[in-house]
Amino acid sequence: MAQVRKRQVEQRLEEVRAMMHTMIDNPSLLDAFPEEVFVPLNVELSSLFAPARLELLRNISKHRLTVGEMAHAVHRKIPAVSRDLKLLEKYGLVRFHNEGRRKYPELVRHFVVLPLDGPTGHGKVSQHAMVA
Amino acid sequence: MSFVVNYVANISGHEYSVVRYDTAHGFPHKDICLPKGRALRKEPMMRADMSDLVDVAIDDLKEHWEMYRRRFERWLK
Repeated sequence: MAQVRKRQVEQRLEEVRAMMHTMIDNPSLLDAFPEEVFVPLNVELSSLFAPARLELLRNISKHRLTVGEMAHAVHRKIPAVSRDLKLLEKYGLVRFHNEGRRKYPELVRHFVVLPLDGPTGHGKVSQHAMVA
Repeated sequence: MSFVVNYVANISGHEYSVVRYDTAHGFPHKDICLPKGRALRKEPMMRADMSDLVDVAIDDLKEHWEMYRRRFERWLK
């Protein structure tokens, strides 16, 4: 059991390492990075923060667009963008603001808290990457 | 650009910063944290660039996080 937990921690730390290197190599991504989000151990960071989703986060941080306008801005189909935004909403990175029939995604947070040594969050690595 | 990697442990329902790696203010360092929040000591992290500093922080945590946690739990008693 302890070995399994240790492996989970090591895997999560490697994901954090990869994510931070991505941030360092692409500083513009920092503009969009969420403030605080709890990511369960069974969610791969590389999947949640895939380039297409980071592009959505970056756009949300800079522009106030509906889901359809966002899809147009990033040259993707509306259902795919909608699916990604719902996933980002599920993990607390994005919320939706409704104005009549128009629905605007908004950024919620600016740094990441990652459960480190247990699926219930007993112990976490938090990481804050920012432009100084 | 700067970053903070902060190992936050949930111990008996409370969250504590146990170790913090901080590259801000031109002085990359590791903070060994005490239960009341202040740092026991600041250890300089001497590396060439931000990418190396990330690796130092993650490697140190991978190797020592259990020891950091156990020691912190002792300090709490």
